[in-house]
Amino acid sequence: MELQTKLAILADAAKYDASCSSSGSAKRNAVAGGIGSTEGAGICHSYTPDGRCISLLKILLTNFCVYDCKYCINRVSSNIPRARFAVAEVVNLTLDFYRRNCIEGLFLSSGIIRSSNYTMEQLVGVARTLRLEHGFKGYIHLKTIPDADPGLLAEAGLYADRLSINIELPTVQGLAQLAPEKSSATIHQAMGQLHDHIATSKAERKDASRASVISMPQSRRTRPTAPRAFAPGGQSTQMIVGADGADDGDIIVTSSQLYTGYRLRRVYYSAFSPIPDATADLPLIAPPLVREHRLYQADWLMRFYGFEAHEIVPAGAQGKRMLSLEHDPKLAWALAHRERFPVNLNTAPREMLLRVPGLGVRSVDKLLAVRRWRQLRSADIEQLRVPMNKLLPFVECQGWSPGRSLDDPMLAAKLVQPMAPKPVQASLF
Amino acid sequence: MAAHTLILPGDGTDFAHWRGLARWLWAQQIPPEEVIWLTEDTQAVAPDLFAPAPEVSAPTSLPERALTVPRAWLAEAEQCLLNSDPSRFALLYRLLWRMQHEPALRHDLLDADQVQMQHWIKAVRREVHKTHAFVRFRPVALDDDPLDGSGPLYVAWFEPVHHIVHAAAPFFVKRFANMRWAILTPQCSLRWWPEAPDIAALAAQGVLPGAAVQPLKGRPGVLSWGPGASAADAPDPDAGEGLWLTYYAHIFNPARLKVAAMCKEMPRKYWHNLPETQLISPLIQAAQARSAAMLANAPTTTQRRLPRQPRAQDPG
Repeated sequence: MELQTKLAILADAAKYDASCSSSGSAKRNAVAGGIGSTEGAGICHSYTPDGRCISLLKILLTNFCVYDCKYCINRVSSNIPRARFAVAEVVNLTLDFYRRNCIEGLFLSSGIIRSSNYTMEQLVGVARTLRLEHGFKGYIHLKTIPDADPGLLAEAGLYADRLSINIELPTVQGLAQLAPEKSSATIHQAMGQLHDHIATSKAERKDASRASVISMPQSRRTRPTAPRAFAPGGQSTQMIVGADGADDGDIIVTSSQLYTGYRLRRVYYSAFSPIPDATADLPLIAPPLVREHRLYQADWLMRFYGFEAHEIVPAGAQGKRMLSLEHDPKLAWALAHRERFPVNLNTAPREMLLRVPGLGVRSVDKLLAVRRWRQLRSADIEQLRVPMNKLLPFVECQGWSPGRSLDDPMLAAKLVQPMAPKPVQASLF
Repeated sequence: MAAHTLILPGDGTDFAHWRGLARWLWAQQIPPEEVIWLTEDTQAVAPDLFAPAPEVSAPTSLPERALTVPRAWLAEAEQCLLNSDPSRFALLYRLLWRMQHEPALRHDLLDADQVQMQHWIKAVRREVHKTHAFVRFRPVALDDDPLDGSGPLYVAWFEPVHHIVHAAAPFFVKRFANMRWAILTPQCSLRWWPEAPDIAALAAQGVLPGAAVQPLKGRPGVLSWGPGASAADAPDPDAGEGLWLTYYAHIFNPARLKVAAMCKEMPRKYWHNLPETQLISPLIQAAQARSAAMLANAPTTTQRRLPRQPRAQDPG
């Protein structure tokens, strides 16, 4: 099969993985040899019309798979065309795209062929070749197979910047129903193993950087060599949204457990979208993109704004805990807790400023810096360049008071964000 | 009112020069509203006919007058000069002037002038980042040369809005330290010679000592620069680029169109130098039909023999 055809099939097979991040790894460059570099922040080299970035060459080693996960395009019972890359082909593609400055590195995943160990060995082989034979210093993200041998997992971490294991579905029941061959316990166990490896390696490296060595006169080395980092970019996971009956509460609570339990860097939410040759067991719907967006916003509130999972998704109608589609989760929280507002910009503590709709972390830090020297005035709010209609009802400062606008029963309706897709006339063709 | 016209050399991004002029203005206590700042480059294209005649007396030794600014401000001002807005020189001098009269201004991140300066700096940083992202190299065959390097020369054509070519260069030097590459822009061209032992060794290639640096300590490699180029100087697409286009077309998921999100992060001003953007319009046009077909197609029965998986939970 021609390389171009293989690339087409195996990129088609990989596009349902949402993650493409290339950030958060150790800094490296090619000054001492090889090719490539990683900076603290990742770089998105292109964007496709689905709004997703292209940072990494995201492909499957093969889309042959022995599993039959209902939501997956590559499940064994699907009649899509199949292909398989040789290790050298992936290595050469990665290097060629990298030299053209089209990518930051490689995101490699695979269908399960023969056995988990065999498949994992192939994935590790690609990373090993890139790192050892070509001195590749760019980013490598390996999708890890949960029930592969721990020794392979340990080797993967030496070459990869980030490892990930997909949790797939937010609930154990959902996984049992839609991915019968996968086991929630195995997934959690493997995540725990990765977490241990990452934490141990971090601690060892920290100790090494603290300790000093007794060196001979004129020796340059004053610190012991640090042990090699294990997946310095940490681990992440992905959850499919909308394929099973889980509500937003299930999803957010599961993520919050993953963040605290395994110190995940990111949980990715992937709105279940129609796939070619879908199974009859899982009726297709338009992907719930707004819901996916709200989940990311809620995720951000937990990670950077000091919100707890239960605050963001209170129980709603029929006990379903769903995020509002009309308001972003922070605005929804503020509308439900109007007694906590207006917040005085000149006196409120940082934690409370972070809960004000429209104020991001940077704006809050700016306000804190300025108010150390002078009173904040209404003119300052404009200089923040944040959405005014969202902010003004919830704050007060010198020269601005929201008056009775918080008591306005129409306030929630006035602040509806036009995020929900507008109704469109059906196409005739 | 405006009694002084100053013309900065070239594109006006020489910070040391601007700083010298600002000191000279301050020493004479010339307030910001009396100064018109122009650059040679803009004067050559669209001269300001109504500005008073430029200062002829070169700002030389004048009685020094104390001028204090935070050290960090100088670094930020240098970055701000890389923005292409013609009023940046005036804004910086106005801030300098005001900081001498209002000592608290340096802490006031919400002052209108400060906000404007930060906004321009942010635009510069963003464009440096976008340059790192959107420069696209194409390989051109080139003979090996011990004073230069081996392998093809990777050439890119890029059109930045701000004057960021030099600011963006260190990233490429470190990432592609062992690759021969050149970045061509309308204002300036960069060339990296990975094996060049020093600048003098490249004299035969026309590299001038004043237009090159050896940025990496303890290893060869020279970065040289020269005048701007044109799009015609850049190489045409090669066969390898076809693979990249194939990848772009197939990583796109037609069931989820979010065109606005794409345009926000990849502004249209960069599109004409990105090969993959030629695919955007056809991909969007076909997306709805492809997505509808996926919904409409009846599920097929599998044509493959399914392997039997031993189930861990099987009793007995």
